[in-house]
Amino acid sequence: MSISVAEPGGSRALGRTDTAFQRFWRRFSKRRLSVIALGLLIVLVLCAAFASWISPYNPTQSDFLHVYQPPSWRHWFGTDSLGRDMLSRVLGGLRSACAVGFGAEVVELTVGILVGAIAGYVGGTIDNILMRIVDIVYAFPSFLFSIILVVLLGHNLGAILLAVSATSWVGMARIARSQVIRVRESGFVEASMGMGASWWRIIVRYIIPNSMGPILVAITFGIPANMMAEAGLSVIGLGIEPPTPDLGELINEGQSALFSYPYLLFCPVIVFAVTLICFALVGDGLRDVFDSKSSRRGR
Amino acid sequence: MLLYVLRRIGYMIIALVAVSFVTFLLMRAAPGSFLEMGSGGVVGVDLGLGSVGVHDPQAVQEFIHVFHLDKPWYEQYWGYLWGFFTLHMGTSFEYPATPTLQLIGQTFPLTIMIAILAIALAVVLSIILGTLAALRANSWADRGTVLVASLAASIPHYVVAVFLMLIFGVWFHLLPVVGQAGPKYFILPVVAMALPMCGSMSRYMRNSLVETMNSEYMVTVYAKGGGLRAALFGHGMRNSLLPFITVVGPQLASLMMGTVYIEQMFGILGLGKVFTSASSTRDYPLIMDSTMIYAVLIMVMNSLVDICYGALDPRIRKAQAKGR
Repeated sequence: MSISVAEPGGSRALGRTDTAFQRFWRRFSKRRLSVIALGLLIVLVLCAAFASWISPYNPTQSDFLHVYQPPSWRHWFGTDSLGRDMLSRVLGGLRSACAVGFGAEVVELTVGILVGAIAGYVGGTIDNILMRIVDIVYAFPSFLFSIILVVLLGHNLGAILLAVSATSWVGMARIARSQVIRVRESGFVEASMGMGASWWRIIVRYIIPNSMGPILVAITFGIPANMMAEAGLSVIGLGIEPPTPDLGELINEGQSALFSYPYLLFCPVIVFAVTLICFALVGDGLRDVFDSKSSRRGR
Repeated sequence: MLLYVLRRIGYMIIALVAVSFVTFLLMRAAPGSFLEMGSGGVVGVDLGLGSVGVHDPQAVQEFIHVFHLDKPWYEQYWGYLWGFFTLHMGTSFEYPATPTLQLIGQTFPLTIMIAILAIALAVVLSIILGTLAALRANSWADRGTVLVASLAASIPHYVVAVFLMLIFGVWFHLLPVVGQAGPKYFILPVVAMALPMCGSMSRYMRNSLVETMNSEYMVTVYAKGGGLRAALFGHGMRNSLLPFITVVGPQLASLMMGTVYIEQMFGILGLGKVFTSASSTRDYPLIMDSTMIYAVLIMVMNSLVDICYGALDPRIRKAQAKGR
């Protein structure tokens, strides 16, 4: 992957006063679809985060007088076999998915960047050992591994977080390592080393800002992957223990009443699909901004 | 080249040993056992075990003896490994009457068949889509194809499966959605597996074909009097298909994972189903063996792709042979 290196202080040298973020936004906002997706995504994530406040009903409260209500103004997504409001359950499920999606990404980011950066910056034998470990974990069948972890550690949020992030940190480690090596060997870092900059200054001033792009892209693709893994565990019946609402669980339940009440399946799936697609569109936009080669090819 | 292949195989073996060892350790370390979690009446052994507890200590002793659970852990581990590689897997906790080998032999072909059909469908579809998009590069048809393909790629197999079930099963009543009674039953599972793969593959095909068609030797082809057909099939496709294998490769692992979901959703009794049910009953021998089968499959596929790619691209071959 070749990425155009933003020259440090380049914009100041040109006499522009805009910040890195403004520069980034100017390029990102050209992609209309990505901007719309970003807006929608923010709304969805906020809905998920404040699910317990904005849900019209309690997602675990059954109401036996109103079971299998089709979607209406009272219940936008209808009610399920126990009369629970589907909109509230979908929001709750989205919250579980987001919790695992973001949480596991934080774990991956921490472990992956730490391993990758140490390997890339220190180099030599340590690099060799760390990268062989990464190679081996990379060969692990990640999904089987997370199933086994969840089965053995229990169906709670912590176990699922661990299961989802246990093998996926290696991708981040590889990206971090290649970025650190790329930046470390670039001319401007050599120049500042020659001028006597400390290693701390090199890391903070050059390596972190210049390797942010690909890592940010990896995050935008990592979060939905985690959400899929989390919901996938529930689809095969190994997710968070009910009655905590969960999208995979809703898919599983909805499938049993597929022909009689298709909206029970349709509503959660459409919300989930829209969320994932928004992530993908935002990720595509980010990748085009940071990876000038691919955007040139795409146009 | 030989060194490169040997190195790949070496990694694979280390990773396999690591997978088996970690799985084994986790199984040993985890709280709860088959005696508590498994199905009560184990056929043949008749332990008289309920979910509440064990009633017959002698039967438990016998069970422990039959499965060598009284041996030290390294002997047990070695027993699993040796049994797996020599194909003497014995029986599992849950199904003492059927040898594990037979159980896997019955379910495995189904899983592999679905996977292979899905790959074939995905490759054909994405070559067609990618080529069409590339020929109309930057038109609305191109943008639309790429957009739809990337949307399909960003949702998991099981969500695609749900949409297909709703559209073809519920709304149009065209295809059956659950079971494995005939070829008709496999259409939706295969399509559900293939569609998410198409996204990145067709996009890759399109991009590399656009690049090839705009390169300078294409001008030469036209200058020498070649038409679009000569340019496309004689040169363009050939040069674009070569790197295509790199996008197919990484998909294979996720494809095998996908079979686990798809089998669950469409009620197909394949290897994925065996694995998930073994996991939920803590049937350790079966967990071990099915994990190993999946692991071997995925790793062999990945290594094959790597080796093929190395063989096709001399730059990688040389870089690898020199060592890092």
